[in-house]
Amino acid sequence: MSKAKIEETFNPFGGQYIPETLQATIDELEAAYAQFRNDPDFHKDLHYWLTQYSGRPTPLYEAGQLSKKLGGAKIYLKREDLNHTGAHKINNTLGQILLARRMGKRRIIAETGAGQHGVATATVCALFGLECIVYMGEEDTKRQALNVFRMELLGAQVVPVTSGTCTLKDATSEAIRDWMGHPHDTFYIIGSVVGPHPYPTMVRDFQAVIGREAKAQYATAEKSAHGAPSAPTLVACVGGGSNAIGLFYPFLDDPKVKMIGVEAAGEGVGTERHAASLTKGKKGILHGSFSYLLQTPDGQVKEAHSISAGLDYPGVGPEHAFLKDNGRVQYVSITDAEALEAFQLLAKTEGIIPALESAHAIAHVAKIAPRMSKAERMIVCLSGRGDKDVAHVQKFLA
Amino acid sequence: MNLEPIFKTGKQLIPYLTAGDPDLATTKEYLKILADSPVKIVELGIPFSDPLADGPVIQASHQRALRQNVTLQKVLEMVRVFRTEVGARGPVPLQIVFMLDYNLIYHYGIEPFAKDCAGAGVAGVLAPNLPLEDPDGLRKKLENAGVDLIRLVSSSTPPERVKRICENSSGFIYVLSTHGVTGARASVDSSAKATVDRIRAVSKLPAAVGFGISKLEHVRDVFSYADGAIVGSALVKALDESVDKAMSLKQWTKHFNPDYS
Repeated sequence: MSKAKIEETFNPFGGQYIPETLQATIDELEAAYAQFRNDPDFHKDLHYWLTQYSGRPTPLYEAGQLSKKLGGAKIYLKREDLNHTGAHKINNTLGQILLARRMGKRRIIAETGAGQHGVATATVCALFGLECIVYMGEEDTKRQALNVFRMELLGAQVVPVTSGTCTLKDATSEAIRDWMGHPHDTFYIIGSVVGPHPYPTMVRDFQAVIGREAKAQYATAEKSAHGAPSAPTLVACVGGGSNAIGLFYPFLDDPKVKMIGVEAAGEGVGTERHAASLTKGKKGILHGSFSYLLQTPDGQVKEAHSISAGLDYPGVGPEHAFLKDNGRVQYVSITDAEALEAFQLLAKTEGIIPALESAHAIAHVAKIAPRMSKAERMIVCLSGRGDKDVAHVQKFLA
Repeated sequence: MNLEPIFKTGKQLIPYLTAGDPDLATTKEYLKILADSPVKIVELGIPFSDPLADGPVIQASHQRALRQNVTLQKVLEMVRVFRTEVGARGPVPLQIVFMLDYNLIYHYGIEPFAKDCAGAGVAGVLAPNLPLEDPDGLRKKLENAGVDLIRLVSSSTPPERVKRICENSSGFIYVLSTHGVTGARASVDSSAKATVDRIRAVSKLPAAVGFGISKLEHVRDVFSYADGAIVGSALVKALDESVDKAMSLKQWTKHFNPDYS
């Protein structure tokens, strides 16, 4: 086995805080990813599936009606909701499953909260004929029964997790435990930029297609006879943070580009019920990496809360922790109520029903765009479509 | 420093208990029973919300302890009181090793943790998810406080890494008998002996085998090649299901140790 390593670029965050039982398995993954990360054949393959199967590139859509309604900056939406399966998640599951195939792994495991990543994983497993086991908190299997059915329809086995709080963090722990027990034949497709190194780097690489496309599309859309286009402000929601880092990463070296990550404030960051790890968390270790974490005064991991199940995670990707501490990215938070408003705003102004996760980003845009000049530009990551949330939202608006 | 000499006196049967399961007063009673038994080292798990390396039995014991609001601070205080009470009769014949998630240590603070472990009389610390690189310098702080840092070696750990782990440990090496999480298994994986041999080749540290050891015959088997055997889930489960827990533990110490049965 090659000893190839991948450099971690966001120290002291990240790392490999894992039991020794997992070390050799993680080393094998790191070596494989180091081998294929810059392999033209791998990328040709990935590009094929992203374009022909998922429908990339996704449009960078100028949201004229929303911009007009808010009366300030011109707003572009990066339409990740138009991907196959309805969200950015598939960018990552396609990347990881191609790696799993090259490593000769036949058994795929994943964790899921609301079921979006579980569906995206079950989808690619169906596509490539691989066994798929999805761990999902028992609470979530009840709340998201339809997604459980979707995964089963795609041929996956959904395992309800009854440990701890029976939610996403426990499903993630259970997936890691499964992996420790099956180190030889199993590949763990993690759903966000979390977990031990190299996952946060690898998932970011697979999601960076969002920002690379947006950068090129923005340059084309804003090309004028009067010189270079003005630098945009980027906005994206942050749960684990994969769509946000995917949009931000290709722009990081341009200091003129402002970036804002939007966390879920749930019922308010002053309450106990929120998911704002960067805004209100403390540094700590969960699921193999060092980052910001919602925890009790005694260092126990707290349950997160958000109306949007995809943001309902007590940790956050370590690269976001790094970008918060060095000040490159500003992190704000949006409440359940504000997200619900934005959900309806985008539906009514643009005819686009956003995922509740993405509605958090839209809500922050609705707050700041009116104060910006018409010459200013924003790019918002519309990470997913809202069909999955319609029944849930109906209960709140009834 | 504390633990290595104990293995010179014989093979060690090391029970694992979750601190605060079912409550801290009972855990202290358990420690007193063990202090009166041939057991010389006990592993005390500090309850954590997300015990990554543990199977269902120990996960459930952590949940029971957390429902009692057991914290690292309270366990440290319980250990201090235990050692004062038992120590009144002479040297305490039982050494305590903490097994805990690294987040609890980080959150407590590295320096205060080392100091308070020493103050309470904790002999060793094992944090399964502490990286070998030890980013916050835990080992040095523990060493200065006179507390051992025990590390894990698994059957998949390559030889050069085994060497580095041994060089950065003290007390003993905890050998993971198998991949996977804690919990009873039908037999002890034969790879455990090969792992112990790999440790012997590079280090003088005692090697104790854990994970999946649930029966007396497993302990006998492990004692044939290693310096100690750690029994966790099987004991935690037996105590949880027992009506007279103190009596169950007393019987366990009598019947489970091949040297004394």
